[in-house]
Amino acid sequence: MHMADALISPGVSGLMWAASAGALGYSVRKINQFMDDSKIPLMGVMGAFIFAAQMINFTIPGTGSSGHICGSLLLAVILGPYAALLVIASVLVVQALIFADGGLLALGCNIFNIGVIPCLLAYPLIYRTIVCRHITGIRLWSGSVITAIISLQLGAFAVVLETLFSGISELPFTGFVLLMQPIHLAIGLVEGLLTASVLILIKNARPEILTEYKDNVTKQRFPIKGFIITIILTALIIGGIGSWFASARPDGLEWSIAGVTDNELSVPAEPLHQTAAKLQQASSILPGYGFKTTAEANNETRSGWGEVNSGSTVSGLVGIALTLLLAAGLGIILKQRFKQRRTVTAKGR
Amino acid sequence: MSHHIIEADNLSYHYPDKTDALDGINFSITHGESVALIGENGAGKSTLLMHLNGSLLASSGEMRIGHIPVTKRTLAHIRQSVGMVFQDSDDQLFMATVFDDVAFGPLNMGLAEAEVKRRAEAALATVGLLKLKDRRPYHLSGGEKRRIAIATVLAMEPNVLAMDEPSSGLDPKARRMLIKLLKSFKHTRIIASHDLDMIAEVCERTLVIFAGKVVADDTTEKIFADHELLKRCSLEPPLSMQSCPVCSMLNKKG
Amino acid sequence: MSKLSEIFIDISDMEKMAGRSSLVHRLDPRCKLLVTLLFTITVVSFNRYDLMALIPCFTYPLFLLIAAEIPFTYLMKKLVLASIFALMLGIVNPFFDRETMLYLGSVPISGGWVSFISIMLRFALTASAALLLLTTTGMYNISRGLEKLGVPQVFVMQLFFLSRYLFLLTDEASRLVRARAARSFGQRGLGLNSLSHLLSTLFMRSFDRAENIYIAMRCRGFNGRMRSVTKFRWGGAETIFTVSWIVFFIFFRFNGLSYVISLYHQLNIY
Repeated sequence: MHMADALISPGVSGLMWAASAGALGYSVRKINQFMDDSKIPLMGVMGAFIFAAQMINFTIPGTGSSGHICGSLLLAVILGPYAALLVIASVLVVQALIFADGGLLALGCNIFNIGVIPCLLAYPLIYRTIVCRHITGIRLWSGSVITAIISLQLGAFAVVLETLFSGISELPFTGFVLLMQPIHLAIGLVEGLLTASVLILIKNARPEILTEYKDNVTKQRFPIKGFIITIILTALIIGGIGSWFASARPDGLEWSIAGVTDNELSVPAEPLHQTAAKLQQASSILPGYGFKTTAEANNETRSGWGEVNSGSTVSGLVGIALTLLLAAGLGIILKQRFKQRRTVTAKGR
Repeated sequence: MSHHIIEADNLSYHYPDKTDALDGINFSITHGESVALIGENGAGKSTLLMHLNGSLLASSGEMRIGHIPVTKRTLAHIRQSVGMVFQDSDDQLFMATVFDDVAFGPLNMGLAEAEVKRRAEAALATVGLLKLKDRRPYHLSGGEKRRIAIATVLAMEPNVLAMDEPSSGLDPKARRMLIKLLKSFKHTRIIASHDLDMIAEVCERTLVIFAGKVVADDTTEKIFADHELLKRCSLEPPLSMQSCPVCSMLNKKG
Repeated sequence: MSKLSEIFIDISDMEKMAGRSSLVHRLDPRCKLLVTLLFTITVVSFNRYDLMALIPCFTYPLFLLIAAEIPFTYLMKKLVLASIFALMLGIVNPFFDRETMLYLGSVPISGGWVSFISIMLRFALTASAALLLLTTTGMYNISRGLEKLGVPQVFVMQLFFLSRYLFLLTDEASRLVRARAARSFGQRGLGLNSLSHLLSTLFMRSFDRAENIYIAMRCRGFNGRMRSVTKFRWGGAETIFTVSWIVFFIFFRFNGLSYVISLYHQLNIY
């Protein structure tokens, strides 16, 4: 599900753009280091493939509604996580421009939700742990399904958080979560099944495609620890600063401009301006985010840019911390499971 | 001008799975010759073409262009003198505008911008499509795409043109224009095709490839007259050289 | 399936529009990218109840629409199609925020309705800015502009090839879907199983095509860098376009309009 410009605040957009741009920059560096230029047309054509594939709808059995493949996991398996992220990001850019899906500011969120989460988090942490090198049988099916479900759950949860912290929509947290998560459970299941069956078909027909790119990934171990720490740090720093700036909301800006010109906007007695003034007033009583109390919101109107608003900074940080904890926790659990299994099989030999 | 001689010297190529694609190919083509490669699907025509500019490198034996063997080290040089026109023009026209596509090769050759422009415009003028230079390739007709694909190669001013099925998928009018264009070239031309009627018009010499070997190498006329050979290689004489079925029926009746 | 062919026609229309040569079309893509971005930031930075402030923002898309001769109905059609997500999330606002905010005549309007309308206006503004960027610039020039703005070449080339082969693969996909539909005798939609066969076929064709493209590129001397002779020039027109829109956005952003009116009013009083 695409995040949209209409529902986003500049703070959230800046934060997510920074996170996605960081991940993209990292991937570009890795690609320049480890890939030869034959992959350049391949990545581009794969982007066009994903674009076309997303347009082919299928009927979800028993429901009559339809869905399509998202393709992030499929690409990560075939091209490796870094190239896959770049391809997904470019598909999202094109969709944002051609269909006005999302928009330019929401692009940061969308690249994160649909690209970074499946390619750089779910794929290396979950898929590769479960599937290893076996592109067959139970491991492939379970690995694909579990990875797809988790990455779509995380993606959907990220949409919820991004919407919530933007404060444009009134949807309450629990309601939104209860709406989004089950839908994406179904979507994730289908995505996983599709990914696995397409992978099997490709492997049967053209086994060399899958082996060729596997080496790309396995040769270079993914620096999971470093990556997570970097993400956490940037997220915390930007989250803190971002939501603090975001909290110096429009009224704050207006206030500071009025302060500069030393002239509070006086309200002339015309109907148009009365309405405008009423809107202004109402808006300062109902703040967008932070801890909502009327008194505090009034204070907020008085506070200019640069004054730390503890309310929204705290809520921003808590939200980010929660998401990251969820992602990191899952990763750690899975990794340890894998380690145990590896030692068991090693002993068995 | 014997320095643009093309020689295959016991050239063999097998795919990674060890199946032989080319098996001891020998031939020599002199400058300005127009040579056809014919043979059934899978005989090795395209594989042989790919050796001409080093898109594939021989497993054993040697391909020489102007006495320079085609190896990894000589690739850059070879690719400037052998221009390759692919069967699917969409694979060849990968840039966003016709002009950029034609300028792609000269730019990579490191030419000055003015020279790149001159060459690109000259190449487009040669194929008669200068007016399309700002168009996007995906909106062009099949015939236009094919001619621009040829222009992208001409702009590099090669000595040899290698073409894979240049007339496939073209309507009769576009095909006629292509034949006229091919006949007007002074380059050495090597054309792999199933369109034997086109070959009868364009090429004076023909190599018949069968199961990775050259089984015949002679003037086009003689090859097309040898019905026994053509039949053995799953080919047929070109329609223009078959007696008219309508007339022959009339003759029988009469 | 009609959806794929519709998209195919839709994208060709957009590319055709992008190929025109109006004043706006001829501007350096960098300045259009920049102004679109600043415009979007301006729009989303407004308070969610600030309806009045959003209205002057329509100046920008309206200007582009007229200056670049993009058909209004075309833009509207695209906006309606794309509006679903914003509409779905926006429509809940009136249910959760029922506090009366203003009166339209004697009809009370709740804060939820105000913010709902605000979401839809935001959507219309930001989405039309993105669509107009594409229809006045084209994917190709946008990627070149991004490259000039410092986006890494790998990513730019990726966008480049994606937009080049989008048509071809959408067309190929629609042929595959049609061929399947021709043998399925009126069953609507695809099952999971046939979809995965279809996708893997499309995938392998795309993969082979990518290989052929690479060979074709190498044949013409490709060595990892894409060069182009088309050059952009940032001249006077670009500076005027960018600076004047920035001034306008600042003006809109700080409610300049009502400020000017109030000044005017004060002058009248004294």
